[in-house]
Amino acid sequence: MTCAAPLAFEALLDYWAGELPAAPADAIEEHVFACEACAGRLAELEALAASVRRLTEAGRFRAAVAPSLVDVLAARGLRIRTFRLRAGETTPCGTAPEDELLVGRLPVDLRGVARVDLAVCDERWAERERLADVPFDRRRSEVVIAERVDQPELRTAHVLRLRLLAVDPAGERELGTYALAHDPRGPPDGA
Amino acid sequence: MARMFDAAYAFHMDPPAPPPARSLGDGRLAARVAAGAGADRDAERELCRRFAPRVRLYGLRHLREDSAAADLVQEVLLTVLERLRAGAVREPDRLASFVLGACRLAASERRRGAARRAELLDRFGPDLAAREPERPRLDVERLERCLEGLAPRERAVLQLTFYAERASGEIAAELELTPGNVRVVRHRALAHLSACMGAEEVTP
Repeated sequence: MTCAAPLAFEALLDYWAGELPAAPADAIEEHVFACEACAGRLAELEALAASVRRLTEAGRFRAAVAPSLVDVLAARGLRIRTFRLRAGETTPCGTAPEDELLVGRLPVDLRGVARVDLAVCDERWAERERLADVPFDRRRSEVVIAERVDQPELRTAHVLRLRLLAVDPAGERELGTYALAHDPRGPPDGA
Repeated sequence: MARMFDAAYAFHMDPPAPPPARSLGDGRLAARVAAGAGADRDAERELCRRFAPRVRLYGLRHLREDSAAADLVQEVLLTVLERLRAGAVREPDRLASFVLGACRLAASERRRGAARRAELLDRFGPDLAAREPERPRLDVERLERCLEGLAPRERAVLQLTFYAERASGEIAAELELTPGNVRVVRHRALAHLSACMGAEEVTP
């Protein structure tokens, strides 16, 4: 099963994402219907896209997410427990049995910032892991983190320590530190 | 005498078995379905096996629902078989174009397609097109690990594209990229995912 003139992967991807004008999209359809090899490549792309969709729908992702994604998840019925953290403070948190996703909103001043890194720190605020170039919402001045509530670490009491950093060619500077104290017994009163 | 015997023997021999339908090109396959007029189940099943995945992809792309795509597969394949059996396909060599045309028509007529589909199913029986088309199977746990391994911005672009169904312009506005950058990041992210899953290397 080979193709003498296989379609470029970018073209298949743009077609699948609905990003092509009608004429090139029609041409791709004509080719795919006549070519088992390219139909197979498009099927692989579709399988990847469908799995990304299902994993996202199930809340199976970690840490920083695009803020608008949380809005879409909520609109489609995922049960979300949200905590608004404050820089320099520890915010108590916990989840109820009906919750599916734990979301933390980290307010941050993003003026003049082009890239934000999220560092996960230990109890002495030493960096343990870094997520580089995380998505952020400049309009709402926030970075959003999300975690599925059935993650094993959420079964025990612990404190998640996070540091946001602005990164540019000249170096990096701290934008804020945040701590989320998780109680497995449930959400704090009023949360 | 020997010649006469050979001729007589040849005359009485069973005709050679037809080649398996799977080995035929689209044109010969279509011709066989047409010649069989409903009797050549091997050719009809092969036509369904070959085109069901492509019709399903068309349905997913245009109708955006698994169930609607599955309905489209049935409706289109049964329509194509019906037209071939009736000798109504003038250019069997252009079978793929004919199937695509049937897809376009069926997708545009979906609102009034329920009665038509019921009629076709009644006439053909559910055995030809009802089977789930062959489709790639993915190890979802592995994919989850691969997805976690992407850069946060790559992951965000994939989630916003395939789950939130945002256009590249909208994603660009949220993530402070250009639409062109979004397409580049999306391509790179899928290439990383595909490589991580051990799939064939995609053409950059």
